[in-house]
Amino acid sequence: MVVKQRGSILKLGIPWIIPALALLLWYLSTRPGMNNTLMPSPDKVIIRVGDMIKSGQLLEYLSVSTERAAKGLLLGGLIGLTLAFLTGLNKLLDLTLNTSIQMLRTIPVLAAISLMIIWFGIGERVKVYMVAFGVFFPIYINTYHGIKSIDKGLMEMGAVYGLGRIRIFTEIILPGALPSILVGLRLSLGTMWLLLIASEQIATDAGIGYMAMSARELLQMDKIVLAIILYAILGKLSDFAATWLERTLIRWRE
Amino acid sequence: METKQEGYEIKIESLTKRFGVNTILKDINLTIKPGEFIAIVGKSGCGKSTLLRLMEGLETPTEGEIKINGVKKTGVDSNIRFVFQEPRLLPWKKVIDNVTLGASKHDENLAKLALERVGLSEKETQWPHVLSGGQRQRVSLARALAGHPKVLLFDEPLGALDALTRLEMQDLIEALWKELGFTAIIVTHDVSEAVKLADRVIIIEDNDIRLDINIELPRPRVTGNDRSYYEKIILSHIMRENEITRDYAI
Repeated sequence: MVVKQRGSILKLGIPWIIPALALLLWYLSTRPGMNNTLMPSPDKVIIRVGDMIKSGQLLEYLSVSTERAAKGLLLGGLIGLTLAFLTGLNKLLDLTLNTSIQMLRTIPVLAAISLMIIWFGIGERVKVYMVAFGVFFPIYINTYHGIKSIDKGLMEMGAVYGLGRIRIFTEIILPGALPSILVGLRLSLGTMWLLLIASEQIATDAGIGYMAMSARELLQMDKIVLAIILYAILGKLSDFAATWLERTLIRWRE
Repeated sequence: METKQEGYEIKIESLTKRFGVNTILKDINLTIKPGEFIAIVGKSGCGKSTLLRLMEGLETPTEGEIKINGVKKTGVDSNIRFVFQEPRLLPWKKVIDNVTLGASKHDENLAKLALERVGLSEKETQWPHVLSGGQRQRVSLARALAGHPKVLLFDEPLGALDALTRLEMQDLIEALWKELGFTAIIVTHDVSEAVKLADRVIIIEDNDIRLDINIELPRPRVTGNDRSYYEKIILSHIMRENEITRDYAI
């Protein structure tokens, strides 16, 4: 029991050794007297966080960015899911649409940014659309693949046991494709933040991307570093969310 | 538990099945009596599984027809249930819910009874992935039984199991068949399994029925010379080696 507990403490602790060392190294290399034009000292970043919390700026930027990300994810995700179910379940739609969608996928989303600006301007919409565009593909492709790779034997079993089309969908296809859909979601969360940073560099006055860009122009090192840290935290949080979803929705696996 | 149900009669009349240019079955005629236990054996690819799928209604005949109790068979219905080679359980449903899928009106009590019959009551709330191969196949058997079928079709149901589990399953299938009285048709490539279980063994070869032999042995059948005698005859027909029988039938 004691050994087991010690084991689990070790397991929890070991992954944090390198981050802790990095933090220590950062602190040591930027302590007073060292050259800190390339890297601000941690306390400077912490002071900046305090200031920005007091002025309400941090919360505002965070909520603006999160809202854009969420809107984009919802839009792109819903379109991706719907289209994947249509092409995955209907042969005719599969033939007409799937190849075209797969071709679009090869376009790097960032390459489309100029076109997007011309089409949708530089306002709020273009940021949501960019995220939606990027999020669409991982969700579409994984959902489509998930539906296509469902064991045909299970579908046949459903037919023998008299399940109608609706029950075959809800009891076999949907749960069968769910693991793939969640893989798509996890991948799309990564793309989501990436595209958000890129799109928040376009004429904005709020958001974490804006914060990073304006800080670069003013050479505010602490703010730049803070933006990077914030993105890391947001990325980690969405990863947690994805893992939690997988655990709660796919309980039948070990 | 419920009373013994009467199995259905299956009458196959000049049945032909082609896939494209390939003829799988040609002009098959066969009558299976209510409550009879039939084994269909043959080399792989001989069309035995296709015949079974035709009886289930998963395939439609190219020519001829299948009559169930005198009524022409069209499509799948709940009186004829199929036990696949793989258990085909839904991994995202607990054992009991998988069995309920097969129960009439999705009645959970029927599912519980069926699980009891195959001796897996205590596994009700488990996920399928924690069960052994034999247990999974028993669950799939329970799922088929839960609907009180009049005909049970088995497509090499024990092919993927180890030898000991196989013997156990054979006894279980025989006991359930005796108790419940359904018509049973098992497709297998295991001749001794066929001789152990069936009233009648049918060999399919070259798209046709090559041998139709009654196994006149009392049940339960134990391994012995009587069984070996039938096994030799059947094997010789499958392998087309007449010497085997000649050697043996002294």
